[in-house]
Amino acid sequence: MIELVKIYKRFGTLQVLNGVSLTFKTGENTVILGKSGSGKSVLLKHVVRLLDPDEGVVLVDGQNIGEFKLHELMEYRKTLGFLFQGAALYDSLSVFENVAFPIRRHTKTPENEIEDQVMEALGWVSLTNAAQKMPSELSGGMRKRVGLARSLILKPKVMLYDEPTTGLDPITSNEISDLILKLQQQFGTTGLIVTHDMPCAFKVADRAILLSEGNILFDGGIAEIEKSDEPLVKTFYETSVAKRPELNL
Amino acid sequence: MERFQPFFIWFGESALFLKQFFICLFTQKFEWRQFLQQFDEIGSRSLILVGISGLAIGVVLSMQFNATLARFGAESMLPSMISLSVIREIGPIITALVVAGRVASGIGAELGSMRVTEQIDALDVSAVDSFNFLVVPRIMAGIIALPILTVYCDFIAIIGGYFGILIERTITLQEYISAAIRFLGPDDIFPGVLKTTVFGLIITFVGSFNGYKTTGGTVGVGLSATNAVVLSSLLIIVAEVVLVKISILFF
Repeated sequence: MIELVKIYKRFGTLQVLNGVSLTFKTGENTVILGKSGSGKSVLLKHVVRLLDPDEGVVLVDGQNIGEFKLHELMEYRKTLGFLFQGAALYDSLSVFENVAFPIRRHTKTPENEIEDQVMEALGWVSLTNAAQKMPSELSGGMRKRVGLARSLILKPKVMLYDEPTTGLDPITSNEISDLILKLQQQFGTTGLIVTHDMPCAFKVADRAILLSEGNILFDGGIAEIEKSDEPLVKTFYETSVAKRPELNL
Repeated sequence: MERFQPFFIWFGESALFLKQFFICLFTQKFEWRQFLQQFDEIGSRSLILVGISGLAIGVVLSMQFNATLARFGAESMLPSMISLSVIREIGPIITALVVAGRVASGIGAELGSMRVTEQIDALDVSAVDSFNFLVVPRIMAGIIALPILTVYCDFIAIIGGYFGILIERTITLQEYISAAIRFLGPDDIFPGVLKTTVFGLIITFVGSFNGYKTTGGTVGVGLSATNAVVLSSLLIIVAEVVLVKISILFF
């Protein structure tokens, strides 16, 4: 279980997180919604301690990760997967080497098994034919899918997705959403998903959180979104089901 | 005092960065594979550039000294003068400045782009200590590669000096080499070569620091690369003054 307790974070004069407290239960998929710049990615980076809070603590199974020594932090991070907004593929490595990187670093798996595992992971994101390409040869969507394969290859207990479907076509977005759901159902993976993609949110999430100006405006079951009276929550829901308006010319 | 604040912040961050380097070096597993890659990048791939610079410097020194020594009828001292000048001062500083131009900017730009595209964060999240993985091997490669490149540059520059003499008069290579090493002693060779370990540290440290701490997107990457070259070149020249004084005291 991951708990964020009264997290405050400021960059210069901008207060990004304003005393956010949240609990993420094991095995649950939570989507974090909010307008651009509302602090969603910053929140996610606190969970992996890429950022330290100005005030407040992040607890994982009751332990304050801010007090972890380097080797404890590394052990904790081995249980996590993180899909970055821009995929963050290593430019000097091929697609195959990118996906194989976590296995080679953290396991003593023989090379022939690594190949099988990498090709299986690339199969999850329909990119087996791109294994020998370099990241510079890939489109934005392909990069994101390779990033997803890399973060999933060690089958982490907790997956953090920073806009997993942004920049993807609707069909691929749907496949990625299916994959997030499959991971949760097959392996009991806990998912924290930052997204603007409401169809993806409705498909994968058990719970939704809406952040605005560093505060939580909504925290509840994904199905409760449509019943919320909060204007911003309503806007988020309405835009997700919006149809072409009738124009009276 | 307030306008000096950024300088003090920079100085403090640099000191902490250097401290982190030594802590990682002595407490964490050394990344040999990364080290060999960087040694190849900094060392092997600088050979042509350093060689051409050394050759040109040798020829130029030879022609300049020849004209000056001829005024005093001391042309026979030319090989010794070339070898002493090259080995004590010119070889180390030319090697360091040439490598600074190529390597410091490369490291600054590479680590800078890794920072702004979140590749460094991705390493950290993958339970890989990005500092130990990226910075320590680069600095160690610089510290070890620079003295080797300097010896290579010295050798090429002395050979260049021979070609310079051949333009003016005839001398066999054997006579030239024998005259060149006549007055050379260990106290000429060791200070010149050893101080380049400091130059190697400066080049790779400044490049790594600027790259690793990059902010501000692609503009920041460009700034990091530029600052790395400018600052490392400046620090090499300042360090040269200090190291010459130290070497005079000890040798």
